[in-house]
Amino acid sequence: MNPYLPILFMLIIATAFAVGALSLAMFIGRPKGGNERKLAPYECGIEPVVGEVRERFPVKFYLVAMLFILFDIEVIFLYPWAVVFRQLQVFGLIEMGIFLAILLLGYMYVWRVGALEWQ
Amino acid sequence: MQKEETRKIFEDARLKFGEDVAFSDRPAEEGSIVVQPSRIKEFSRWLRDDLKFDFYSEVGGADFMFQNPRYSLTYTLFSTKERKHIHYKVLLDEDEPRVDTISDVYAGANWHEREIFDMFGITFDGHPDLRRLLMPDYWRGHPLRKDYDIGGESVQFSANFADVTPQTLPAPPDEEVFLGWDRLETQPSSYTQLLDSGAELEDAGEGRMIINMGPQHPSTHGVLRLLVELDGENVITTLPDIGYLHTGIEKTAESLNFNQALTLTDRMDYLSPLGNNLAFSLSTERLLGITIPRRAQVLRVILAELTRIQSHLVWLATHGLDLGAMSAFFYCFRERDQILDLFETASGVRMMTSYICPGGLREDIPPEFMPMLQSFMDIFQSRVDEYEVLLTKNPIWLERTQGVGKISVEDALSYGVSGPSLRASGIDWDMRKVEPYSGYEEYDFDVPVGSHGDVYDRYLCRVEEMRQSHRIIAQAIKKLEPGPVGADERRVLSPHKIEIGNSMESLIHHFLLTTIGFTAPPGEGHVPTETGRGLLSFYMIGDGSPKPYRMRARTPSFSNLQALPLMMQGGLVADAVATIGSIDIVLGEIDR
Amino acid sequence: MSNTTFDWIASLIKAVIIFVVLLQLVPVLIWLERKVVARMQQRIGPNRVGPFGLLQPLADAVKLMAKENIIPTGVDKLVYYLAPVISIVPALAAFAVVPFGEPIHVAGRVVYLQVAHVNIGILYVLALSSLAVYGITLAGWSSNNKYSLLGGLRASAQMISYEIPVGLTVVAVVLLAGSLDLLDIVNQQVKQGIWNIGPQFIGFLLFVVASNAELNRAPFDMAEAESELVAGFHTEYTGFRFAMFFMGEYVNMVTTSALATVMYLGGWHGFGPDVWYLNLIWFILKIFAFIIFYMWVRASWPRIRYDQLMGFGWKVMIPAALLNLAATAVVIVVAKERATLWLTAVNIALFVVFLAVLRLVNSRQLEQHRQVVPQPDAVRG
Repeated sequence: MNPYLPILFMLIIATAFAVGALSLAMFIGRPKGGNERKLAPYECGIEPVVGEVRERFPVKFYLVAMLFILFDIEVIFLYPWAVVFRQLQVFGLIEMGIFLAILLLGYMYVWRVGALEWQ
Repeated sequence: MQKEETRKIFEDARLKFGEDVAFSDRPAEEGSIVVQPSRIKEFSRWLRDDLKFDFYSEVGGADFMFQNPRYSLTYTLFSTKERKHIHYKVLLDEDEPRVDTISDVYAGANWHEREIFDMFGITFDGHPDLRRLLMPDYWRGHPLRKDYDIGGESVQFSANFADVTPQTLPAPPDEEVFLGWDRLETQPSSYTQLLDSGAELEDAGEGRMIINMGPQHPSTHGVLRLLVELDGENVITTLPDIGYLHTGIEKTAESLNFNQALTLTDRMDYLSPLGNNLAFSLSTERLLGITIPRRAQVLRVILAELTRIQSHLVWLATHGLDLGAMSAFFYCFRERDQILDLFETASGVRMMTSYICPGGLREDIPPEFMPMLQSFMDIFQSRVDEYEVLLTKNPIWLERTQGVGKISVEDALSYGVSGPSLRASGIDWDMRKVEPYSGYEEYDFDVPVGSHGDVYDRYLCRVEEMRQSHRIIAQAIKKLEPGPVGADERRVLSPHKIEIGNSMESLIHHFLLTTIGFTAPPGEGHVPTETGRGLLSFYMIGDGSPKPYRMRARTPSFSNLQALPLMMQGGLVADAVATIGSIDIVLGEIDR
Repeated sequence: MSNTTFDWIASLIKAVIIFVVLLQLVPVLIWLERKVVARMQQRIGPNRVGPFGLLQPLADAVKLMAKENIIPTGVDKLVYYLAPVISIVPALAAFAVVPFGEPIHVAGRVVYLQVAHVNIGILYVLALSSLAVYGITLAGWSSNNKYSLLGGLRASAQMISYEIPVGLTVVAVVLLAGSLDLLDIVNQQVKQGIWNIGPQFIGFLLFVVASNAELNRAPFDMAEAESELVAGFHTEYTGFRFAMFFMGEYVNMVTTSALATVMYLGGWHGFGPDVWYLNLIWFILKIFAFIIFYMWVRASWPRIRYDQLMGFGWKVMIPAALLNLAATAVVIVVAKERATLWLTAVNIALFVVFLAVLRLVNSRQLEQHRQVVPQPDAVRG
C-alpha cells in the first residue's frame, strides 16, 4: 500500500467533517432574518462610507511575500543537504557555506536598503 | 487672596486697555475681569505673553436671559510659574452674539468654543472649524439657552431597529442642513476634511486608508469615534468625534435642586464619583459661603484619594488589556472591588455614591468602615508592587509604551491637558498643591512628574500616584477625630433623624429641604480640584432660587482628548490604542 | 487476510481515531485554557455547565451550531464559505504523520503508531501547517471589511515571516538525525543518549517562539488583536464558521506541540518501563506541558506591536536560526563522535550569553527611561 494513502483518508475525513458541520449548522441554525443594517459589514456601528474596502493596500506586504519566497526556497534546499550531511562532511560544510554566504549577502543588502523596516 | 491677585492684574490691564476692562466681584472670593468683546483676543494674548498665563483651562458660557447683555463667557487661565489663576469674561448682546476666537492663542479653546457655539449659538469669528460638537449636525436650536424649548424633541425607543424610520423623526427645518436621519451619515465636514487632505496624497501615489474606530470599538474606552487616516500603518490625521454619550447633564441640572444635581455629577465621570461630588460640593459651598467641619474635611480627603486609586486601577486594568496584558486587568479589579466595598459600606452604593454633599457628608461613616479601610491599606502597597512586576520592566511593555504618544509641556498646557497626562510631560502641576482645598496642605505627599511625556511616563506617574494616595490616606486616618460631619448650617443640611422624630419644626425643615431644597444666593462659585484624570471644576451660578442657574463643568478628559490627534500623529494604529488608553478618558465626562 | 487489506483497515481505523481524538481535544483544550488562565488571574473560570464546567465548551459548540447564519452584504461568497474549511482541514490532516509510539506488532504484523508512516514526515507537517495562512488570508479578503482585510494581511505576513525561522531550526534537527522521518528523529535522540533539547537548546527556544508566532497566539496574536482591529480576520464570521477557525487554531496548537515533543523532547520516551501505553501517556503529558506553557505566556505578556513583531522575526529570529544551523553543522564536522556533548556545551554557553544580552538590553531600556521623579515640597518652594 502506498504510504501516502492514509493521508488521503485523513484529508477526506477532515473535509467531510468540515463541510458536514457547516451544512448542519446552516440547517439547524436560526432562520435567517434581519434587515440591511444588520447585514452591513461591521465598522464600529457606523455605515462603512469612507473609501473602498478592497482598495490598494501597502506594498510592504508584497515585499514580505517576495522575501519569504526567497528564504523559504533557501530553507527547502537545506533539507536534502541536511539529510546527507554526515556523509558529505567537510565538503558539505564548505558547499553550504558558500550557498549561505551568497544568501547572506542578499540578506544584508535587503536589511541595508531598509526592506526589513516596517515603518 | 485670589481676589487681590485678580485686582492687581486688573490694575495692570487698566493701564493697557483703559476703559475696555472692568472688575467684577464674581465668582465669589476670586473675582474676574470683564473685557470688551472686541479686545478679547488682544487681552488673551497679553495674558499669555506678558503675564505668563500658560495653562489654558476653559471657556464656559452662560445665558442670562432678560438681562442685557445676555450672554456671558468666562475664560479661566492658570499661570504655572506664579501658581495663580484668573477669570475674565466677555458679555455679549442678545442679537447676533459673536466674538473673536482665541483658539489661535490657546489651542484648547477650539473645542470649548465649538461647544459654546453648539449650546448657545454664539459665533466665534476666525474659528478654524466651527461645527456642532456634542449635538448632531442637524439639531435645531441651542439647548443651553434658557429659552430652549424642553420636551419638543421626539426620541424613538424601539427594540426593533427596523421600526426606527426617518419618517417618525421630526421634520428637518431645511433639507440642506438635514444630512440624514441618524448620526450614521452625518459629520460631512469631517469626511470632506479627511478626504480633502487625502486627495493630495492620492496624487502622490501613496496607499492611503481611512479607518473608522468607534463608536462601537473595544479600545476607544466608550463611545468615542475616531476617524484615522492611515498611510500604510502610520497615522496621518486623527479626527475625534464626540457626543455619542451626551446626556445633557448641564441642562438637566438647571431644573433640579442642588442636592439632586449632585447625583448627576456621579454619572459624569463614573469612575471617580466622589471626586466629582467633592468638586461640586466645594463650588456650591463657596457660592453659599459655608465652611465644613474638620472631620468631614478629613473624610473627604480619604474618600477622594480612595476614588483616585480606584480610578487609576480601572485605568491600569483597561490600559493593560488594550495592550494585551489581560492578567493585569483582573489583579486591578480585585483591589478596585475592595474600594467599592468601602464605598458601599459608607454610602450604600458602589458607584453612584452622591456621598459627599454641599455642607459635608450625607452621613457619618459606619463603625465597620475604618477596620475595612485598614485592611485595604495593609495590603495595597504590596499589590501595587504586584502590578509593577507584571508590567514596569516587561520588555514588550517598554517597547509598546516608550516614546509613543509624546506631547510637549508647552503643547499640553496650551491644550489644557491636565492631571497625570500633563505631569508626565514634565511639569509639576497638581491642584492639590497649587491651590489646596479640603485641607490638602496639611498632608505630606509628593507629586510624581515624568520627563518624556510619553505613554510610559504617564503609566509611571499614575502608578506612583496610587502609592502617594495611599500615603495621604494613611496620614488622614491618623488625623481623623470624632466630631460632626455636617456644617452647622440648618439652611443646607437637614436635622438628624432623632431630632426629626422629636420636633415638628425639624420635620418641616427636613420636608422643605427635601422637596424644595436650599436656596443659593445670586452669585458664582468656582473651585478647581484635582481628580484622577486632572483638573475638574464646577462653575456654579446661583440666582436666589433652590436650583443652580447654571452648572458648568470643566472636565479634564474633554481637554485631554482634544490633544489626542497631536499625540497620535506619526504613530502606528497600534500606538493609537496605547495612546487612547494612556490619557485615561471617560466619555461620560467628555460628553456630559 | 492479505497484507494490503490489513493495512487498509489499520490505517482507516488509525485515521478515524486520530481524527476523533483531535476533535475531542479541542473542547478539552478550550476548557483547560479557560481554567488555567482563570486560575492565573485569580478567577474560577467556567464552573456552571457540568462538573468543573467541563461541559462548557460543548454548550458553546451547541450554541454556535444553532446560531443564525449571517452572511454580510458584499462578501465574496464562495471564498467566504471556503475559508473556514481551508483553515481546519490542513490542521487536522497535518497530524497524520506524527508518531505517538514505537511501532507495535498486531497479529504478527507491524503497525506504526501514526496514521501514515512517510519518510518525509517533518516536511509534510511544515507544509500543511503553512497552509493555515490561506484560510486566514482568504477570510480577511472575502469579508468586505477593513478590519478583516488588515487583520488577514497582517496575519499572513506574520505567519510566512515566522515560517522561515521554524524551517531553519528544523533543519538543524534534521542535521543531527540525518533523516526527515519523524520516527528516525525520535530514535536518534534515544541513541545519542540525550534528547535534542540539550544539543539544540537554542534551536528549541527559537522553535517555541517562532511556532508561537506562527500559531497567532499571544503575545503575537496580531491577526485578531481585538483592541485594534476589533476581531481581525474573523470579524464578520459568526456561528459555526467562526468555531471552525477556533478549532483550527487549537488543532494547530496540538500539532505544533506534538512536533516540538517529537523533535526536542524525545517523543514518547520517558522514565519507567518501555511499553506502548505508558509511552502514550508520556507523549500526551509532554504535549500538554507545551500547551500549558503557551497558555501561561498568554496570561502574562502584553501584545507586541506589529512592526516590532516583523522586525523581531526578520532581524532577530532569522539570523539566530541561521547561526544555530551553522554552529550545529560546524560542530558536527569538527567534533565527529562527540558532537552531541560539544553541542550541548556550546548551547548552554550560548544560552548564558543570550541571557546576559537580554538583561543588558532590558536594563538599557529601563535606563533610558528613568523613573518618575516625585517632587518633594522643598524643591517646589
